[in-house]
Amino acid sequence: MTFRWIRPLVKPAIVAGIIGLFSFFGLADQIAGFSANLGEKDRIVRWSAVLSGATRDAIPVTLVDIDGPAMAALGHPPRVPRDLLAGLVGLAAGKQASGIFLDMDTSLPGTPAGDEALAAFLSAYPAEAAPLALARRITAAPRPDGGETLADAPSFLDAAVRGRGNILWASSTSRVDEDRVVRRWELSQTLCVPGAGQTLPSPQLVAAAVAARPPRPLADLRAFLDARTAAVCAGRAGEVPWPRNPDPRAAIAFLIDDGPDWANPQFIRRDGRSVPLFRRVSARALMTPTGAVVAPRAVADELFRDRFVIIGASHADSLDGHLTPIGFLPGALIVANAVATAPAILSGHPLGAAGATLIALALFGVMWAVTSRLRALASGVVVTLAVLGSLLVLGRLFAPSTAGDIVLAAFGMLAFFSTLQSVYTVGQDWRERGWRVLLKPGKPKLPPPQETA
Amino acid sequence: MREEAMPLGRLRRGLLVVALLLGAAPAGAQDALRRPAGYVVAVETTAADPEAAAHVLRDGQPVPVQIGGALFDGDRVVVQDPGTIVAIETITDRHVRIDAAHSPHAVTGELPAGGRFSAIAAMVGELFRGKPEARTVNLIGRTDPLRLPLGRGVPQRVAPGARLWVGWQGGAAPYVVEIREAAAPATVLASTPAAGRTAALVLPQTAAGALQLLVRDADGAEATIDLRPSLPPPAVPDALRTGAPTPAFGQVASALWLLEQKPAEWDLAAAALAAEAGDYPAAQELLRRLAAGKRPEPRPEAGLSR
Repeated sequence: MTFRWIRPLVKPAIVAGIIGLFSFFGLADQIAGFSANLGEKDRIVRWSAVLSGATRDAIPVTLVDIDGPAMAALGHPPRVPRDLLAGLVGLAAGKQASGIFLDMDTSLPGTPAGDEALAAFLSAYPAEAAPLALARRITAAPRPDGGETLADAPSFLDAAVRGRGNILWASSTSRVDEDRVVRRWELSQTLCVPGAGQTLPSPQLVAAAVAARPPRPLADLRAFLDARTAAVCAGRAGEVPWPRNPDPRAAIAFLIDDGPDWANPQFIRRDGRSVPLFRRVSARALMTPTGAVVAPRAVADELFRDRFVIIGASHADSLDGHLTPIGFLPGALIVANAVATAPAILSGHPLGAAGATLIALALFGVMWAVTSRLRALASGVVVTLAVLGSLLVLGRLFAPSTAGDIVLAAFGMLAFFSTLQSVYTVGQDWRERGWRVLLKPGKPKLPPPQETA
Repeated sequence: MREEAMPLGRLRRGLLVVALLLGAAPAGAQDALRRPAGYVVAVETTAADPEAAAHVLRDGQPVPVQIGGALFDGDRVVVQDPGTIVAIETITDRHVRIDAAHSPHAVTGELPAGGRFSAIAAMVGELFRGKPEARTVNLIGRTDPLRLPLGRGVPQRVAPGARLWVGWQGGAAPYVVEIREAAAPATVLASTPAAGRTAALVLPQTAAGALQLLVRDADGAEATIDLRPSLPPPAVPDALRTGAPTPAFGQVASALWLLEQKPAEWDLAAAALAAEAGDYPAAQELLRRLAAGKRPEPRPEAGLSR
């Protein structure tokens, strides 16, 4: 009787002791981080990409990285030698890459000998060699009315590339959100210059055509680009058979991070074989001590054959690093992520804003029904399973990025509805109970047990 | 009722087991395919026959070492040439450089398959991972290391008596620029201080043999490039030099005579002569044509920076 007042304090004391113990051993920070990590939008987007099959029909990619050691071996030139680029493209083409993207700016001249070597190489590029896309520099240009428009900068390679059926210019641009993080791609870039509008494909669009199974003819790609130019510059909308889901600003599934090949390997099925999704090789390894490219027999065929090859720079002076949901990545690695997962997005069924909203509303309805009937723990498990199932199904039907957008929209609706519902309930009871409506309802007191005769 | 429900319950359980087995079978078949343990990331060799310098023993058979080639569990990397290094990255070794002294090197392990379910497990593990520790960064301006970005380690051809202009990057001012003999570094042929990152100095007329241009900054860091003075040009005939109506005319005529002898060899000497003529139209035109012969004509948009 004397210590009856202790009994209600036992449970809170035990809980406080456990929390104190966790804090003492540093576990409380991890547990607190658990819920914070769970709510990170970028993490949810990344999970949804994995769960909804971002690697469906994925394109294996090899990145030839002109990194710090490569530039050091070259004597830190102000620009990557163009004759080296010619050698690297020639090596990839000779090893039968499925496609090549040269992610280097050629709008400014380099050394005369190097520029001549690259131009001569492209002029003699065989028609049967792998399709080659060259990055075109896009800049802001003044308009006659005082505004700004986008224009492409000329390149010293224009004459060499003109008329070559398997060499095309590409735009290597991405969307940057307000927090300066790159999350979405630009599928193409349309430049409406009076009388000469054109649409430049992104490298992932080129790869989805040339490196797909089976590969699409370049004519399909050009048909899409022409239709896009007509739609944007002349207002003439038209249907094209490919790609099925030309999402202009899809979320990039960041599956490839900035680490060695053994750290996070991913294998995909391609032509009945298991092949690594991503390989990275330093340009330094492909160079001789004199700065030339090594002989083809010194390089394994599997590094380039039937893979989409990206030649890009990650050295510090390239100033081509960007924030992404998985950290700071060189631009070429962002392109690799977009290229690898492009088929899963472009082959999905297109879904307009109205359709996506309806599906999100349906998913929201299910989640609301579950959360309003079940206790918190049970509803959490059921909602998690519902979300996972939705991602798997929607990712197969539509694009993984679309599935992720729908699930996030449904969560947003649930959070908004819960807030509105809470505000409405408080407002309704305020007249009767005043400020006490903000307190939790007390536990109902049980009637005393009745004695039976 | 209960007795009738039992066979149905067993049937449902059996179907569930079969479904699970069928679902797992493709995964199992995929796991049966051999995955590499890692890859060859670099081969550094000076051997005349690189293919004989190193190889991989796989199932008892030699296989050539190739950049980017896969390595499997049980392989042995054999390096025979003392000047050869094979760099590999594997799941077990991470990054290893193998030379003849550490050969043969046994490769073990297998890269994980990845896949959706292991990705889910990794994602769950991510939730419990704490934030990475903060690290210290400088908030002050960065001093880049001194760099002399000229050429790729081959000697730069220069004309004795010519005025050399040098630019470099990084380092801490003030600088000292010197030209010295490569064989006897203590012998300084020309020297000049510099407050900025450019300097000009004249290569002595008598400079010959292998030379070195050195830039030293205030912290003692040095950057060098090799210079190779052109051989002395042949003597210009007296008639050209002394018979000219003006000295500038004579210098241009001498320059043109040198270019006629061996344009690729004496172009620097010819340009130096023409430059001595000063503001003489013929000399300016000759210099312009010599320069145009080395690089393309400037285009209208050449006003872009960089």
